[in-house]
Amino acid sequence: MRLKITIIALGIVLVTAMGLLGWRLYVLQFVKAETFAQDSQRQQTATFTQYARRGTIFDSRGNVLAASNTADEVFIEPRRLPNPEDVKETAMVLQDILHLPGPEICRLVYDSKNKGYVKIQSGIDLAQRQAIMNARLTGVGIQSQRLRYYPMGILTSHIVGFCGAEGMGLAGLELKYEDVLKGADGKEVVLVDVNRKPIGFRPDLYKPPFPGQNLILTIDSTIQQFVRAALQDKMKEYEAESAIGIMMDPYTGAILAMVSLPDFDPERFNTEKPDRLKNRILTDPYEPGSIIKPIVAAIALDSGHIGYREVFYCEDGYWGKYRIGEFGNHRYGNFTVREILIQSSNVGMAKIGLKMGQKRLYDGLRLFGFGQKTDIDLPGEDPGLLYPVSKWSGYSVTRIPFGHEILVNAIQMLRAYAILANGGSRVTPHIVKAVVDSQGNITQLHEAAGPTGFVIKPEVAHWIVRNALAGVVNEGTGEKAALEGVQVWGKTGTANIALPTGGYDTSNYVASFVGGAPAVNPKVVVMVSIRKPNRALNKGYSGGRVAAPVVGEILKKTMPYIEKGL
Amino acid sequence: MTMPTRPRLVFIIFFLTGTLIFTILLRTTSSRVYNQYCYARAEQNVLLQDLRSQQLRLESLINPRYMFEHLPPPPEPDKSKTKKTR
Repeated sequence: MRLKITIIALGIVLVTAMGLLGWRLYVLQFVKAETFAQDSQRQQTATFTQYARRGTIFDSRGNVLAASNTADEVFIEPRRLPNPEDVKETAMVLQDILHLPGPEICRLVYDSKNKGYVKIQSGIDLAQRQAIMNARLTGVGIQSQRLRYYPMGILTSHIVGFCGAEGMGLAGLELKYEDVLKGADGKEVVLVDVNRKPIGFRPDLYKPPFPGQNLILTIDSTIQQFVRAALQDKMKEYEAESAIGIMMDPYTGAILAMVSLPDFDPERFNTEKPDRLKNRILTDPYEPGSIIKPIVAAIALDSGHIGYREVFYCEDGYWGKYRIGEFGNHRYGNFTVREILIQSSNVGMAKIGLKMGQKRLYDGLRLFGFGQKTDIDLPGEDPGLLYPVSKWSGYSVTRIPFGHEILVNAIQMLRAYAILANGGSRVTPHIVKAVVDSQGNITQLHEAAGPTGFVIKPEVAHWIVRNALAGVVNEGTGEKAALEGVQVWGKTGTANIALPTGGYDTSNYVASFVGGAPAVNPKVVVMVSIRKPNRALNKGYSGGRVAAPVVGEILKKTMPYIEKGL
Repeated sequence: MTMPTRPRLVFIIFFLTGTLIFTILLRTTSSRVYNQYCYARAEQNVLLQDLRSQQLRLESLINPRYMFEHLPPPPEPDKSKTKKTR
């Protein structure tokens, strides 16, 4: 009986044990099968990321502005070499391979605050790489770095921008077109042995990298160089705080050159002062001063509120009722609109503003694109400021016509002149001509949309350019922009700088000139603004004296270049 | 069940040993070829890197900025020596 009970008990234990074992097998085989399979895969394989090459940026002539490459970098992990003797031994081996003095390697390791990584040398060749691998040095490794190169350096720094350490765009086109340029990383899975040494492929798990797309810009590096050189010389000569220069095709809105000084080296952007990284063309709106006068005059003529031959009395230099004086205390009498523009009379413009009225002035300026972004394909554009009529004071309609109580950015102003130059059509400023994939196929093309409706009548635009603004250069304040053989036109401006506390800085100005050439079917429009030229030098500070010669210099080089198709 | 004869046993042992050696040989060869492939690919990558860095260096030497900074300006045309035509 006792034996029987024992057998039954053993049987129950055995059946239970078998049941548990069966359950465990079921769990392993069906419930956790996937987890174990994944764990097993992980142990047997290693995954390597294959980085996609970032797209290249070209100018309109095919010059490379930004491109990527990889470079092998030797590094030391100082925390794995706690004894100075170990560092010395490692340095002795490395100095023969890298041709770098041993004491220098020791110094890099000792001086480093980062105990996990010290860069020793970048850009090593294959033989050096193999020698280091064979040396099997503790705490020494090789890492492949993705580097971004900017062959033009500072020339196009504010346009192209720069990338951070992770290869992500942080400014300029690198930021704006991050999604287009970056591509998609791939991965390669390899089988590994117990020591994690690769022994074979897993082609079924291979995912190829997808390279980034390339950008072709409207910028011409040669014209960019003309603009930058002329601007830099003048900025140095006048010890100015900053300067900007832009050139545009008035019929398409294509930006041919864009320079903002001071600029920076995009490969060393992290060592530059933040102030130098600003593209002032887009980020710094300012009161434009007299360069807005032709726009206001065009709006008034187009709406029929004033006539071409209508005469305005310019109050002999000071209009007491509205407290408006002339620049340089000039005393002007009766002027037509052409003479008002040529002599840049503030009183005359105030009278045009009054005659036109608040609503028409506001609507006209909005149509020209002021107070709103131009949608240029660069990041950080400030829309400027044009208050709605409800916020205007009684003086506003007399102040805005000569460039006070309105903030504009340089692209808005240049676009407004492009509208005058092309016969009254609105254009969209743009800097990317096309996006091209790695096979050379065009995936996006910015085609000139052509006239998209007239902001002002063509005859008004032509009269302003060919008659009034050509007169500014031939007979007025812009004579230093004149060239032999080509009719330059434009308008000077010497704008007060508004203080954050209210009122205006009485000792500093922004000297500007906006114009183009030739007068009939203009090829280009150009804008130059130089901020705070040093008045103590006694060389002058007005737009006619400081900015107009720069535009003349730029056009002198650019016009033959464009006409000969060089 | 009869025991295998001595030659048969020797054959089986030789066959198994041979198979084992052949397997090891195949495995070693596979590993070596794979390593050679990896090395060649790494070498190709380094050469491509090198080629690209040379291309970029060339780009930095032939761009307008470098040339304007390093080439002398072209001489101004001398108007007094213009050829007279009859």
